[in-house]
Amino acid sequence: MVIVIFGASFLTFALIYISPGDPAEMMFRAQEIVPSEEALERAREEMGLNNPFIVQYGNWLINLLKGDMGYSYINTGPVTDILRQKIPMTIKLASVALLFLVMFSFTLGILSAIKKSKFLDYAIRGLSLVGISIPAFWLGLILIYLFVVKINLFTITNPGDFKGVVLPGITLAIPLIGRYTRQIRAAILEQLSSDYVVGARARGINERRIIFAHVLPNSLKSIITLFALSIGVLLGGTVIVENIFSWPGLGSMVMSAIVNRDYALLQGYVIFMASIYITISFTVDISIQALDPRVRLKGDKSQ
Amino acid sequence: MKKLLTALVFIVFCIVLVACSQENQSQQTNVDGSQSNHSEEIKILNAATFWMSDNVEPTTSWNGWVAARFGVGENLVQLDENMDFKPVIAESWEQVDELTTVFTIREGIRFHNGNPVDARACKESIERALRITNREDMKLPIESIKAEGQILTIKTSKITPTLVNFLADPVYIIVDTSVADEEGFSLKPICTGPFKIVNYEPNVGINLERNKDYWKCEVDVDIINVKLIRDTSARAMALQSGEVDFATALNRRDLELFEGKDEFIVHRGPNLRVAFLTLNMNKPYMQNLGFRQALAHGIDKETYAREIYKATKAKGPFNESLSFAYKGEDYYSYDPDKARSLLDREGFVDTDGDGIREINGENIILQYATSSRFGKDAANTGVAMQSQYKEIGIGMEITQYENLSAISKSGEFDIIWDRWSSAPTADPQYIFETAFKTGSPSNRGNYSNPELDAICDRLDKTINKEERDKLGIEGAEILMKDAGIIFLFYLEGSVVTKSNIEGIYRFVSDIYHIDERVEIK
Repeated sequence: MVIVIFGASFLTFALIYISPGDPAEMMFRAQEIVPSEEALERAREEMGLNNPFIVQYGNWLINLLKGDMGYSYINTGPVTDILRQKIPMTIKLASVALLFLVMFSFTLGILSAIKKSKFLDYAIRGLSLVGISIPAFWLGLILIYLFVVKINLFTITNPGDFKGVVLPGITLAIPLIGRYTRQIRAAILEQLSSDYVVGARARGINERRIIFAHVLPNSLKSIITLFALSIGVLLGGTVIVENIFSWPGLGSMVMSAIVNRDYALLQGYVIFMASIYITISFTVDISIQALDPRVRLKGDKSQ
Repeated sequence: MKKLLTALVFIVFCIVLVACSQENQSQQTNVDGSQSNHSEEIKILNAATFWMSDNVEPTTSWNGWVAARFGVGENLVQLDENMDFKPVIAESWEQVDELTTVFTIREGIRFHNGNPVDARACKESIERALRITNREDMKLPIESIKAEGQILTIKTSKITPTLVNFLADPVYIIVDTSVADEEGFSLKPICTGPFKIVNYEPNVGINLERNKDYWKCEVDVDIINVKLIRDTSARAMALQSGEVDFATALNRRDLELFEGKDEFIVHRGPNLRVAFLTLNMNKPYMQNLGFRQALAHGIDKETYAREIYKATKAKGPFNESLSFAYKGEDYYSYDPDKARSLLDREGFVDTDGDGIREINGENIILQYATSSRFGKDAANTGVAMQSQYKEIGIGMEITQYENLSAISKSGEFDIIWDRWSSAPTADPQYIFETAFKTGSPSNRGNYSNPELDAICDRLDKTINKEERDKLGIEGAEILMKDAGIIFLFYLEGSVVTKSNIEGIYRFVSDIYHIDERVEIK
C-alpha cells in the first residue's frame, strides 16, 4: 500500500517536473501579474525550484512523513487545510450521486431484465442510452433550467443545503445510471439462463424469490468491482459539474493545480486519491468474499 | 422473506426522501415568511459574482478588487463609473511641484472598527502596501510620505505623472494597519467602505453587512450575500429564478433574456478590455509592412465584432469613451482586393496554382495561437480568419494552448489572440509599457517601434493631462499604422439587476460593482 502511494506520487512529481512551464512564472501569471526577473528568481529560490529534481522530491517526502504536505501557492494556504475543506464537500456530493445511482440503476436494471424484449425493456434501454450520451455540462444546465428557473424546486448554489445538493448529484448520477442499468441487466440475464435458475424454476420456486435471493447476489459480484471504480471517480471530483453548480470540490481544485503547476497541492491530491483507490479495492475484495462463499472456501483450502 | 426486506428498504428510502424534501419545504416557507415579515426592517441583497480571490488582502495580487467590488475598501481617490477621478477619503489633492502632491484627508472618517482615519493612518496604509505588495506593476517611486493632522504629503523620487492614478488602484485601499497583523485580517480587512465583511469563504461566497457609521451617508441595504457562480449560464439562471438579485459579466446571449423585461435592469457597454492580434515580429515576412497591412486588410473585424462578439469593433487600444482614444477612421479596413494587391506587390505570389501563396517555394501557413482560457470566441475568430485568409491566398492553422507565455517564448507562432486591460489606471501609459514597448514584459510578439518607445519616454515626463491624452492618441495611431498589433474588439461588461434594485452603475473599469448608492425599493 505504501509502495503504491510512493510510486504514484513519484510518477506525478516527475511528470509535472518534465512538463513545460516554469512554476514560479505560472504563479505570477495565475495572479495576472507580470513578474520582473528578480521577483522570479526570488520566487524560485523560495519554492525550492532551483534544487535538483531528486532533492525537491526528497524534501517533499520528508515533510510528508512529518505530516506536512506543503504550501499551496495558488490557494495561499497549507495543503492539508485546503484538502480538509474540499474533501468533505466532494464526499457529500459523491454520496448523493451514489445514492441515486444505486436506487435507479438497480430498479431499472432488474425491471429491464425481467421484462426482456418487452416494451418496458426497450424504453429503459433507450433511456439509458440517452443518459450515457448526454454531456454533463448540458445536462446540468437543462436540469437547472427545469428545476430552478421553471419550477423553483431547488437552488443552484447552497452546498450546505439539501436543496443545493440534489441537482449536482443527479447530474453526476445520470450518465452512470445509464451505464449500470445496462450492465446490471446483462449480468442478470446471464444468470437467468444458467442451470441453477432452470432448476429452481423446475422446482416451482417463486420467480421473485429466484431473482432477489439467487440471481441478484450472483450477478452482484461482477458489478461490484465496476461500482467501486466509479466511487473512486466520483470521489476524485468532477470539474464540469462543480463549475456549473459552484460546488467547492476537489475537481476544480485539481484542475487549477495542474494548470498552475502547483506541485504541493497536486501531490496532496494524488496521495488522497491513491489511498482512496487502495481502500476501495480492499473493501471490494472483502465484500466479494462476503457475497460469494466460494472465494472464501478456496482461500481456506490453500492455507 | 428477502423480497419483503427489499421492498421494505425501498419504502424506507422513499419515505426518507419525501420527508427530507418536505422538511426542507417547510423550512423554506419559514424562511420566506420571516423574510417578508421583516422586509421593512432588514434589506437583503443577493448577488452573484464570477470571481473570488482566496482572501481579501488588498496588497496581494488582484485580491483588492473583491474588496472594491462590494464596497468594502476605499482609496484616497477613486475612479468613478466614467473613469473620472472622484475624491473619497481625500477630500482634495493638489500637486505643489513636480515631485510633491498634497492630499487633504476628510474629517470624521472611521474604520470599520471605529478607529479614526487621519493622515497618519493613510500614510501607514500606503507604506504597508508599498512594502508588501507583490504587484510589481503597482510599485511607486516614493521618496517620503509626511503626515500632519489631516494633511498627507507624498514626495516621489522622480516625476510620476500617474501618482494619483496608481493610488486609485485597489492595491492602495486604505486599511487600518494597527490591526493588520492580527489573525483573520486577510479575510476581514478593516477598511472604511459602506459595507464590511462578516464572513468570507473562498470559493463559496461573502457575507457583508452595512457599515452603520459610514462617513458619507446612511446606507440603505443591510446585508449583501455574495455567491460565487463561475458558470455564466448558471449565473443567468440564478437571476431568472430569483436566487440572486444582482449578477455581472453575463454571457451576451443570455443578456437577451433580460433586456426589455420589466423585472430586470440591464447595464451594458464596452469595458477597458481590448482583444487584439499580436504578430510575431521575429518572423522575416512579418517584418514586411506590406504583408502586415495585407493581414489587417484581410479580416472583416466589423462582422466579427457583430456576429462573434456582439461587441464594438476596435480601432486602437482604447475604447472611444476614454479621453485618450483615437476617434478617427480605422487605418486598414476590410478590403480583400487591397490585401491581394499588397501581397502581389511585395512578391508573395502563388506560383504552383494551389491557391496558397508561397515564400521561397513554401506555402504560407500562419500559426494562430490562443489560450483555452479565452474561451471559444478566440478560437472562433481564428476560424473566421482562416476562411477569409484563404480568399487572399494565405493558409492558417489554429491551436489552443494552455498557456500563452510558453508558446510566445518558444516563438513557434505567427499570430496570438490576446486580451488585455487597456487602461486600468485611466491613463494610456500602462498598456504601452506592459505590452508594446520594446522589451516590455508582456510583449509577446517582440514588437519594437522606436516611435512608440519615444512616446513612452515623453509620457514619463509629461504631467499635463491634456498633453498625456494627446500622446495616448498619437501612440495608438502609431500602433495602428504599423499593423504589428491588430486591434479587434472592445469587450463588453454587463450588470443585470432586479428592477427593485437602484443605485447600481456599470463601471467602465470593472473594478466596482456595488457602492453606498445601492438601494432596495
